[in-house]
Amino acid sequence: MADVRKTHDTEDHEARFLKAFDEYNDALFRHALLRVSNREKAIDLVHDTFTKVWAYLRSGYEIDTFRPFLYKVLNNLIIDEYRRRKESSLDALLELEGVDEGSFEELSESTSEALAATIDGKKAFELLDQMPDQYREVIILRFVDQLGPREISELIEESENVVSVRIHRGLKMLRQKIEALDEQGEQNRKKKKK
Amino acid sequence: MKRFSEQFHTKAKTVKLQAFEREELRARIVTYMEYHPIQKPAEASLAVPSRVKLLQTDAFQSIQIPASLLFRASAIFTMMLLVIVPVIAERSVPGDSLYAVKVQFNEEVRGSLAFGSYEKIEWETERLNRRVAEAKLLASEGRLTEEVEMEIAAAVKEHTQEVQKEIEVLRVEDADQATLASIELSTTLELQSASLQESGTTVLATAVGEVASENTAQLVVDVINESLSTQEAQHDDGHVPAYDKIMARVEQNTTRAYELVGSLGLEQEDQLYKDITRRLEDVNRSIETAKGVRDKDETLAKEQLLAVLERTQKLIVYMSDIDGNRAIALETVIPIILTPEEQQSELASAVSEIARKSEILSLAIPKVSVGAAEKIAFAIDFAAKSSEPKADASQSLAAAKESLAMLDDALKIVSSEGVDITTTPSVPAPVELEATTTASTTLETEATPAP
Repeated sequence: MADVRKTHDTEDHEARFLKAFDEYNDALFRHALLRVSNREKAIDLVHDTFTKVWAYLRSGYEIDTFRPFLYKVLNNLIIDEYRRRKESSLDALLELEGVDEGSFEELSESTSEALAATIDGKKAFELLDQMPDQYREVIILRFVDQLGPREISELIEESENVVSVRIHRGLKMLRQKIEALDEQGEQNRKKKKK
Repeated sequence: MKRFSEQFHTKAKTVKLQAFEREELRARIVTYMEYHPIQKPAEASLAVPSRVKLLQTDAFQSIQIPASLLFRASAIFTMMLLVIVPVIAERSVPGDSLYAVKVQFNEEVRGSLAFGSYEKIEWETERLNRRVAEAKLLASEGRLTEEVEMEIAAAVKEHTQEVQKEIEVLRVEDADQATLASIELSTTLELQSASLQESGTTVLATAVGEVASENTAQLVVDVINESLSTQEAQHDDGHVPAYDKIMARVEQNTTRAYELVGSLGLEQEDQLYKDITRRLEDVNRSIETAKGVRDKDETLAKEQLLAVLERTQKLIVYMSDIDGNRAIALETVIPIILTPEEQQSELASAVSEIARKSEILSLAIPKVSVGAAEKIAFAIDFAAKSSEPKADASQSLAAAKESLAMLDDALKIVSSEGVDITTTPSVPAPVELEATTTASTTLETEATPAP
């Protein structure tokens, strides 16, 4: 995705860079906001992402396709941000450390699809911020940013299998949460009826 | 799946930057880009990939210079400044860019290393000689402007005053030494003045001459004071310190003169080498004479030694700028002192010359007018009287020379009368009798005029 060729001249660099900004600022912002749940912080992260990429260009490097590169930089920044916060999500991370290879069912794309079909998209979206980041990350990348499993695996530096397992478990988690909510809602309604 | 994915995505799409937020962000990034423009391709190629990986964004990039390299570079620089530049500067003359380094750094540093009045006097005298040598060098290259000449004259004056000041300081401690130093200074000035006149630097020559005469006047006072103090000393315990001191200084100077001769690297065949060695022989002989005289007449011995001191001093100054002084005949500055044998032979040849010329003249008397005849007769008479033996060989020689001059004048009168004296018997034309430079040449001249 990045190369040390120096075929493009300065103006070309600027034009391409600004075009990439116009094209991806919303997507990057969305991703950042869903991950950090803070609007201002998300804007800053997007800003930092672009300045870093610019510096990279300044150093004489070429970027062929901006999208994955931008995501990679943003992702690293978000991880840095988490480390800085050292929130409870660390516990979540520890808890999820050493994820097993997953069952056959979890590894299959079609089962994930089947699973997803049972979930209400709108409700699931609302519940994203209640998920541990490890799952939230892949779910966002897969369903919000619409990256393929291979792209995701390159981005987060995990194997494709791990990515698939995480997506599967993430979806399961979402379904459970939705079901729990539904149950609660039903109970609430029953109470009201009484 | 489709349903979920679509729903999810549609929902997500609602999350976006507001227009003003986007504008603001874009402006921030564009500003950043303007402040950190992309380097030109040539510069960019210099970028080191390893540093690039750090995604450095600083406006100021640090360049690492190893401390050892820095240290070495500064050491070399200091070395240049403190060693090489002064060494090069040492050869500079007024008008060169490094001349200031020579005069205001090299010489001042060396001067500050001179402790004690005596060393200081020596050093200031050396500086004086240097200035004069520079002037001569410039004059020989035709680069001596009046401005530079004035500058050098001022420097000479300054150094002289410095020496005189130190002499005064020294006088308090050691009057004898002070007098000796004073003599050395005036002889130095005398010689330099003469050599400058020779090399055609009139302004400077006059200036140095003035300083020299001032100093000579001072010298007279010094000598009087010195002799007074010596006499007092004699009254006290009958001991004469001055003789030993003069002797010590003479020996010191002689040694230095010999060293200088060795360092000049002159060829044995060189006339200058012969001249100089001859002067040194003279000096040695004079010292021996003074030693011999001492028992009989201490004051005379001291006088003789002082004369020797002057000669050695002149010789040293002459030799220390041999290239500049080559133009001046050594004879004019330091005349030869003849040995007793030489005096005898010179006298003998002079006497025979007088006899020969007298004969020619007496033959010519009848042929000239009355007035001329009288003059010639007087000259012959004078020559006859003066050739009577004197107590001192040197006095006889002086008298003989005077007679010869007289006779030569008479010969000129004869030839002006139109009388042909070349046909007369003892043919050879009048031979100018001059003190010759070496003993061997003296013998040659003596051999030739025999009739």
